[in-house]
Amino acid sequence: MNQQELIQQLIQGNESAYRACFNLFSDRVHNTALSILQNQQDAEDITQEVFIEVYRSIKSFRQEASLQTWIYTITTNKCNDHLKKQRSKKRFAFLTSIFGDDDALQHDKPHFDHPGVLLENKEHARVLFFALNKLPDKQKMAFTLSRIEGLSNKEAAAAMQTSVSAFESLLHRANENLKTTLSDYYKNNLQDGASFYKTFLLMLY
Amino acid sequence: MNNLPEHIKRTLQSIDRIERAEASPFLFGKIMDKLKHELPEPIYYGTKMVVRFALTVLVIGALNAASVHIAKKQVPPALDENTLIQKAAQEYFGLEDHFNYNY
Repeated sequence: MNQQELIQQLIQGNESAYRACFNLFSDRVHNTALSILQNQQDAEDITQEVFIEVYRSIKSFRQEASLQTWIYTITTNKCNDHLKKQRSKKRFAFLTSIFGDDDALQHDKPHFDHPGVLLENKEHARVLFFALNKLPDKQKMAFTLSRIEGLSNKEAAAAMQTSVSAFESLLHRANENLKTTLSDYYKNNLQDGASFYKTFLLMLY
Repeated sequence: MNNLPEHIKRTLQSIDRIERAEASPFLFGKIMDKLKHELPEPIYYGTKMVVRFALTVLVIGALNAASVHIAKKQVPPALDENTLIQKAAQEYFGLEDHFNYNY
C-alpha cells in the first residue's frame, strides 16, 4: 500500500489502514516523545494523543507534506503543549513548597535512561539527556529530530514548520548550548569528585 | 579537569548509534478502545447550515435593536406633581358628578 492509498483508506475510516499507519509510525512517535519528555508514561500518553489526532484530523490533511512529516508535526506540537503544562504545574509546586505543603521539587540530577542507548554509553547519555532538558523547547525538539530520530534538516524543518535555514540555526544553537551546559556540569562534578577524594584521603590520614 | 573536552565529546557522541525506543504492543488496543468509547463522531456543519444560522442570529439581533429603538420613542413625557394629582383624582372620582340628589 503506497502513501496515497493509505491516506485514502484512513479518510474512509478503514481500521486495518489505521493499524498499518500505527505500525509504521508508532515507534517514531513514541521515541520522539520519550526523548523530549524523558518519561515513559508521558511518552505513551502523547503517542495515544497523536494517533487519536491522526484519526480525527486525517480529513483535513492537505498532503502538502508527507504523512510522516505531518505525524512528526503533530507529535512535536503535542510535546510542546505537554512541556508548557508541565512547567505551569512545576511553578505551582514551587509555590506550594514555599508554603510547606509537600516536597514537590525534585533534585536536579541526571536520571533518564533512554532504552535505545548502548550499554557502554549509558552514563554519558544520561548526562546528555540531562543537558538536553536544559535547552529551550524548540532547540530540544530540533536536536531530537535531527540527532535522535535521524531526520534530514529538510524533513525536520518541515516537521517543525520552519525554514531549513531557521532549523539549521536552531540546531547550531542547541549544540552550542549543550556544550556549555555539559562543560559546566563536568566542571562541577569532576571538581566534586576530586574534593570528595581529597576529603576521603584526609580522613584516612 | 584536563579531560573535560574528551568528556564533552564522548557525551555528545553517546547517542550516535542510538536505537529507537519501541512503543508498547498494547498501545494500539488502548487507542482503539479510547476511540470507540470516549470519542463521539466529530460533528461537521455544512457551509449552508452555518450561513443560515448566522443569518438567523443577525435577523434576531436586528429585530431586538429595532424594538428597543421604537420603545425608546414611545416613552410618554414626564408629568409634574400637580398634573399627576389631578390625573389620580380623575381616575378615582371623575370630573362630573353623576349622582342625582333631587329626589
